[in-house]
Amino acid sequence: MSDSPSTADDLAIAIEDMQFAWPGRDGFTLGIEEFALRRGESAVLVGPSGGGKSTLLGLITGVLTPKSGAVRILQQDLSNLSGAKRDKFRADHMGIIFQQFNLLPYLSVMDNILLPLRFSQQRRETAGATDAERRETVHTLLSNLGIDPEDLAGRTAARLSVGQQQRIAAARAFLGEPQLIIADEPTSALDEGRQAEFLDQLFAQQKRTGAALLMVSHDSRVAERFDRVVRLEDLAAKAAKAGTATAKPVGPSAGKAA
Amino acid sequence: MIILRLAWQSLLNRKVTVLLTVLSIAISVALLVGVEKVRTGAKESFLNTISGTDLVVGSRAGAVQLLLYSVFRMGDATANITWETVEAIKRRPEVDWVVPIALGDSHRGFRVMGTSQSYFEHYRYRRNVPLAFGEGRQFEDLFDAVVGAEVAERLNYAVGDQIVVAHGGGRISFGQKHDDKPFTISGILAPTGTPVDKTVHISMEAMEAIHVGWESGSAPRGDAVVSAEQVRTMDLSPKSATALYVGLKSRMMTFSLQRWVNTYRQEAVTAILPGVAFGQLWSILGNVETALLVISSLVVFTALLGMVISILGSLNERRREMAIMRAIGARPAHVFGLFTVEAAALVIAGALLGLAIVYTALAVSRPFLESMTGLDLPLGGPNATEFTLIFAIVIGGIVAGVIPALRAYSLSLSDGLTVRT
Repeated sequence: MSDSPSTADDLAIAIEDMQFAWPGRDGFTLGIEEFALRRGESAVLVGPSGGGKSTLLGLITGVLTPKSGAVRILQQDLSNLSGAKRDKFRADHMGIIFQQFNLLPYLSVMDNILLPLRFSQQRRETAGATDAERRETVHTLLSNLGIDPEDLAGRTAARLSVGQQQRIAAARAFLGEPQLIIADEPTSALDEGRQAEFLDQLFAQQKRTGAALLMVSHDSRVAERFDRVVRLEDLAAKAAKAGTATAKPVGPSAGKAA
Repeated sequence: MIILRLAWQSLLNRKVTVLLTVLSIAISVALLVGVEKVRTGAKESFLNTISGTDLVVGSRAGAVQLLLYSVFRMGDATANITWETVEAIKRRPEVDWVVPIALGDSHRGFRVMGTSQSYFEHYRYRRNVPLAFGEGRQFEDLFDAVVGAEVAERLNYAVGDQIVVAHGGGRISFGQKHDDKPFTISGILAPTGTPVDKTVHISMEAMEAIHVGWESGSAPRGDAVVSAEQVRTMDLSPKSATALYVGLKSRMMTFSLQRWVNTYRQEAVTAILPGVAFGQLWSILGNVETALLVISSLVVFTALLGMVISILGSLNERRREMAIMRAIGARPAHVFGLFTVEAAALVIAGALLGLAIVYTALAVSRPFLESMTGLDLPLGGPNATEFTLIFAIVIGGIVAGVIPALRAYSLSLSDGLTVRT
C-alpha cells in the first residue's frame, strides 16, 4: 500500500490515527495509525483470535465508532454521521458476508437476497428498475455464483447447505453493486474443496463489479489470492510505535472468534 | 412496511409458540369480556326485575329489606300492613293503581304469594314488559293458582294439576299444610327471568280463606276447622297485606306520596322507590363484580406477561437475526420496531380471537343460560365498556412489548454485526 501512492478519492477505506476502546470492557483498545484499501482492491486481514479483527470490521462498517481519529469509507468520515446515517451508509455502500448464519431462516432465498434493497434505494435502483428486473439481476448473480436460481430462489433459507447459504450471502452482498464487500471468515464453515470454489466465485464477482473486498481470515493459505495481506498485529504495532495503545486480547474477549 | 412483513414472516416461523401465546391472550380476553358481559347482563336483569311500579310500600323497614321480600321474595316482612292503610293509600289522589301482595306460605320450596288480579296487569319487568301466560289463564275461582315458569318446569306441573300450600316459608314448613283446601293450577306464566318464575300466585281472598281458623298461628282443631266449601260462604275480604306495589298517575308525584306514606301516623309504613333501592342493593353486590373484574384483569396481565416472557426468551436465539438485519443496513430502531410490531400483532390477534370465543360461547350458551339462571345476555356487538377494555388490553400489550423490544434494541446496538454471548 505504502509503495503505491494513491489519491484520496480512489480509497474505499482510509483509517488514520484511529483509537477505539470498548465501552465497559476494561482494557481492550484498538489503535490503528493507518490503514487504506483502494477501490477494486482485495485484501485479506489476518491476525490471532481476539486480536480485534471483528472490532475493526465493526469500525469499518460503522457499527462501532472510534474514540478518536478518522474512519473514512469512500471519503465519508463515519464519525461525522449519526447512528442512523451510518446504518444507511452501510446499506448503500457495503455488502457483508458472515462466517455463517447469514440468512433469515424464515424468508425464501429470493427474499433474503432482495432484503438489502429494502434499506437502500440506491442499491435498489442499481439492481433494476422494476421488481422483475431486480429478480432477473438476482438470477444472474446466483448463476455467477454457481447456483441454479430456478432450483433455489423460491426455497426457504433454512433448508440450504452451508455452502449454498454462503453463496446466497455473497449474492446478497453483491446485489446492487455496493463499492465495498466485507467478508468475515466466509469460508471457515466450508470444507476445503468448497473453500477454493467459493473464493473463485467471490473473486470473479468482485472483478465484475469492481468492488473493494476486505476479508478476514485466520487461514494464511488463502493469502496469495489477494492483492494484499494485512496483519492486524502490524497495523496495531505501527500504532504502538507511534506511542498509542495497541490492540491486545484481554478479558472476556480473549479466545473468542474475532 | 418491510418491518411488518418481516414481523409477519418471523411470527409464522414460530407458529407453535406464537399460537400458544395468542391462545393464552385470547382466553384471558375471553374471560375478561365474558365477566364484563355477565356483569352487565346480571345488572340489567337485576334492575329489570320490576318496572312500571313507582313505589313499593311495606311495614317500616330498611329500603333494601323491603325490596328483598317484596320483589325478590327473600326474607320476611317484620309485620304486615293493615287493610285500612291499604285503603288510605288507594284513596290518595296521586295513586293510579295499587296491587297488594301477601307472603308467608310456600309450596315445595317456592313462595306462595297472594295478590289481586290486577297484578297480572300492572306487574312489569325489563322495559315495561307485562306478564304473559304460557298456558291457561289467571285465577278466577277462589282456589285457583297461577304458577311461575320455573315452578311449573321444576315440579312438572300442567294446568289443572292440584297443589297444596304449606303454612310458613321454606322447604320445611313444620309439617303444617293447608291440605284441606287444595288449589288447582289455572295458569302457568311464561318465563321472565325474574322471581315471578319462582312464585305460586293465589288470590288475596284465597290467602284469607286458607288461614281461616289459623289465627293462633297453627292449624285449627275441632270446631275451628272450616271446610273448603264452608269457607266460600264467608267474608274473605283481605285484612292485611305484606306489601303494596303502587302506580302513580304521574311520576312527578312520587316523592310527595313517598313523604306522605313515610309520615303516615296511623301505622308505621315505608315507601321506597324500587330504582333507588335497587341501586343500594346493587352497590352491595357490586363488590363481587368488582372482584371478578379485578381477577380477570389479573389473568389478562398474566397472559401479557407470558407474551413478554416468550418474546424475551426468543431474543437470544434471534440475536443472529438482528445482526443480519444490522449488516444489511437496518437501524436498531428497525429492530425495536420489529419486536414491537410482533407484540402488537400477538396481542391484537389474541384480543380478536378472545372476542370470537366470547361471542361464539355466548351464542351457543345463551338459551341455556337464560333458562338456567334467568340471565338474558344481550348478543349485540361489543359495547363501549368492552371496546375500552379491548383497547386497554391492546395498548397494554404493546406497552409490554416495548420491554423485549428495548432489550432487542440495546442488544442489536451492542452486538452490532457480531453476536457476543
